[in-house]
This record gives sequence, structure tokens and C-alpha cells, in this order.
Amino acid sequence: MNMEESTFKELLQKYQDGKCTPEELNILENWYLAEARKPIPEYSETQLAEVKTAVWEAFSEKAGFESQNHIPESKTVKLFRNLGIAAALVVALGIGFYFYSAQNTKNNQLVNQHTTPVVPGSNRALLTLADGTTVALDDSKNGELAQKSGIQIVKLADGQLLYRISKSTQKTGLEHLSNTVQTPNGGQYQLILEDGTKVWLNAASSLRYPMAFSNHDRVVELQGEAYFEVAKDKKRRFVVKTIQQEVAVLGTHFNINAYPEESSVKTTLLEGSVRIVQKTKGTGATVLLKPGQAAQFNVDRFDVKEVDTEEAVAWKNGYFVFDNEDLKTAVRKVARWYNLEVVYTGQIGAVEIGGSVSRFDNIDQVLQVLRLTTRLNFKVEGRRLTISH
Amino acid sequence: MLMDNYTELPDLVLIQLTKEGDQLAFSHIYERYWGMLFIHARKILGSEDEAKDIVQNLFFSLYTNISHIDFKTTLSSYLYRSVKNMVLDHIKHQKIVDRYLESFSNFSDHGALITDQEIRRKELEKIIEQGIDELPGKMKEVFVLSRRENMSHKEIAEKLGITQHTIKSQISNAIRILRNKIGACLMLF
Repeated sequence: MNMEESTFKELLQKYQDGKCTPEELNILENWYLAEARKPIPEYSETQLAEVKTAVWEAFSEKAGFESQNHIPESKTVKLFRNLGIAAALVVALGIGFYFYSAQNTKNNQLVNQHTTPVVPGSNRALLTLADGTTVALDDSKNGELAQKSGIQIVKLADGQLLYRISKSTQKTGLEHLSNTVQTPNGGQYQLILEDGTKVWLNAASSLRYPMAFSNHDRVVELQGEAYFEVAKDKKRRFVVKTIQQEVAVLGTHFNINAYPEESSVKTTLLEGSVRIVQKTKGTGATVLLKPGQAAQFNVDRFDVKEVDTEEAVAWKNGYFVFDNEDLKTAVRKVARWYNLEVVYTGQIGAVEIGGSVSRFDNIDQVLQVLRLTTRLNFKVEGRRLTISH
Repeated sequence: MLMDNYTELPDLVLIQLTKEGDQLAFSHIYERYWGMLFIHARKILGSEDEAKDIVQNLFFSLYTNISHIDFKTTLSSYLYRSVKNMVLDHIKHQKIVDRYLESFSNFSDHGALITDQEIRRKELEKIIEQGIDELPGKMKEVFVLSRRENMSHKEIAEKLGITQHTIKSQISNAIRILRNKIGACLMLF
């Protein structure tokens, strides 16, 4: 297709008038992004300083500024006014600092109990392409990661992965080419699938998905935990397969916890509706969830409860939230994120945990929450977390 | 010392001061943002003179309309949105549009895309802000410093469990009260 000059100009005019269709906006704004990623010829410090002064002088003349120079002038009134602002800021910052330092003192006391640094997780994952090529994903480099079979894999500035398919690429066949994103202990990752669905992948999890979805459905496979914001598409349902279940939706927000070490898969629905089908026991038991409900398969049927959905997606928002959660389940969440090995010494019966804490705090802050509600001892040595009476 | 504290003031305070006729406050807004706006326009237009015109016009438009602009989100979002609109408007001109025909037609063939408008907006903001990495130390520092100040609002808000909007309005209330008091003191002199 050859874009005629008049067509492009018309498009720009439509853009200015706010009359672009979503498709036109899509093309124009994405083209603009591509242009914005171009490199710029190097400017020396002197050259930049010249540009800065020239533009400022042209501006301040046009705007009728009193002085061409923008070095602060000394005026008594200004001094007092600034003192006022400064005082106001000191008050506000002071309050903030008080809270900050109060918390910090608490942290330091805990940190002093031992010296091994155990750090929280970060955005890290491994991408495996259909041909077996692997690409490490972290916060370092952005832009195009790979170009395979007419699909460009781009890492956005905030770390998200984006699949960009050229129009000329034959979509047929692509659904058979799968990619896998896998997070280690202490890693999490966010990606956007080809249909616009957003997926947040928690630590020690993996998501397998085709380069492009087929025309009749959108199927992905999950191990571990992920939160999905499924792009609406009434014609193609979105299916998440786990070892035990299939969760099918048309467009909705939900969280699936399907770690192999957890007793059963837990699906929590935030928006829309989902249908869950058990594949293992109970041959095809099925349940339809409403927003605010969570389902877990128990022996031979689904256990559906009204839950606090905030708790289920707390991990994605940077928190651990334990609402009378079983100790061992809670500890597994912490261990996956801080990459710890857990050892229980002695008999530890059924204990429930309550409380919430940031996932980006020092490990001691997290353990303190566990200590407070259990009266057990939590000790970290190297990568080992020992829990005892 | 305190007189130079403009560098530490959050964007919204500088805007408020500009509205009240403080030209110095506006020059600090310029200090903060001119660099990455210039680099962004220069990248896309490939011409220094055109990029300079865009930046100059952008600040002129901001200054003359500052009382009427509704900063829905932040000053930075407003500036990034404006620079994009001005650059696209500039490209529309005869002679200039020709420079982009090939690039655009190749792109629209290749297709594409971040389909979510909100994600596109955020991505563009990030790309523009990454432009500060191309500025020398001192110029970059001005922006980073101001960000830290803007951040601290967020942090305070988080610590206190109130919204940033509340923090901002509390600060501006505090400024107003203090100013009235200082005004009264000056009257006594």
C-alpha cells in the first residue's frame, strides 16, 4: 500500500480535529512512538546550552518578560514569600519525615538481629521462543528483543512485553508457535498478549501462550500464579489451562493460583464472569463464578466463597495480605518471593496468620508480621528460613 | 539561600506562583522541561530550528494560557501531550509532510501495535522522559531534583494514608495562610 501525501495529510488533519477512528489513532500514534524511539545526533554541553538560551530569549521577548535573564533577582517581598513556601513545605515534609523515620527505626532494630542480606524479588523472567531461543528479561534494556516469523517482540519502557504482528504476516500457523515466560523464585513479570490481554505473573510461575491466537479461541497454559485482565472479545473465549482445570472467560479480571505445591487451584474473580471446569477428579465438575467469589476444588466438588478480592491480588499490588491464612501457605508465598528454603523444626500444628506487609520491605519486616500472630520463632540464615516453637 | 529554593518546589507550586505573576517561577518550569521537550521534537523533526520553534511556542502557549489550563493530571503530562500535538501539527505542513510519507507508509504496512490508548500515552511519556539521559549532568540534575520533590509528596501521602491531591491542597492552603500572615507583617513594617 502506498500512502498518498493527501491521505497522510488528511489523517493528520483528522487527528487535530479529534475525528480519527480508533484504528487510525492506533496507526498514527504507534507510528509516532516508533519515530520517538529514534536516536538523536549527539549534542555537546555547549551546543545544548546555546539552544537553551536561544529558545528562552526568544520566548521571554515574545512573552514580554521583565528580564531576559532568569537568574533569580533579589526582592525583599520575594524572600518573604519564599520563606512562607519553605515554611509550609517544612511542615509538610516534617510530618512525612516523622512517619518515615519512625518506621525506619523499627526496621533497623529488626535488621540488627542478623546480617545476611535477603532481598525481595524484582521484575525478572526468562522468555523462551518457539524455536527454543531464550531471552533474559529484566529492567535493563528496552526496545526490540527479537523478530521471529514476522512478529516483533518489543520490551516497553516499563518492562512489559508486547507482541507486534505485521499485517502481511500469515496469522495461520502462528497459533502453533508457543512462547513461554517463566519467572524464577524472587521474580515477577507483566506482559501484554497479542490480543491486548494483560498478564501479571507472580514468582516461580510460567505462562505458555501462542505467538498469535487462533480465530476461534485464545488458550494459554499456566503454572503458578497469575492475574489476568482479559481483553474483551465476544467471539473468542479466553481459556487458562492449569494442570487440574480450565478457566474460560470472554473478557474479565481474575486471579489464578495454581502452584503445584498448593493443594488445589484457587481462582478469584474481580470483574465479569468465569466458568471453571475441573479436569482431574469429578470428571468435568463445573462452576460459574460471580465477581467477589473464589473457587477451590475440594475432594469432589467446588467450594465457592465470597472473598476479599484485594487479598487475592495483593501480590500484584506489592503486598502480602494474610487473612487468617494457613501458616505454611503464607510462608510459601514469602519464600517464593524472597527465594528462601523453608525448614520446620518440631511439631507445628495448624496455625493461622493475619496481617499485611509490603513485598518490597526487608524480610524482617515481613517475618515480624508472622511472629506477631503466631508466637513462633522465625530465623533466617543464608537462604534458609527456620521456623520453630 | 531560601530564595533559590525554586528548584525544590513541586510543579504545581511553580504553576500557582506563575499564575500570581511570578516570572521567575516560570523560568524554573522552563529549566525543568525544556531539555527533554527539545530532544523529543528534535528526534522526530530531524531539524534543530524546527524543534526550537516548537519548544518556544509550547512554552509561550503554556505561559499565556496558564490561568485557563486545567492540569487534569500533572504538568508533565500536559507538556508531553502538547509537544506531541504540536509536532504532529507541524508535520502536517506542506513540504514537511513529504519527509514522513515513506516512513509512515512503511509503518502502516507493517502494522502493529499497542492497541490500548492509555498504554500508548504512558509509553510516550516514558520515552520523552528518557530524553533527559541525553542531557549533560547539570541539566539532568534539575529535572531529577524536581522529580524527587514530587516523589516526596507521593511518599508523604502514602505514609499518611491520604491522597496526593489532599497533600497538595494542604500545602497550597498552608502557603496561602502563611502568605497572609507575612503580608500582615509586611504591612507593619
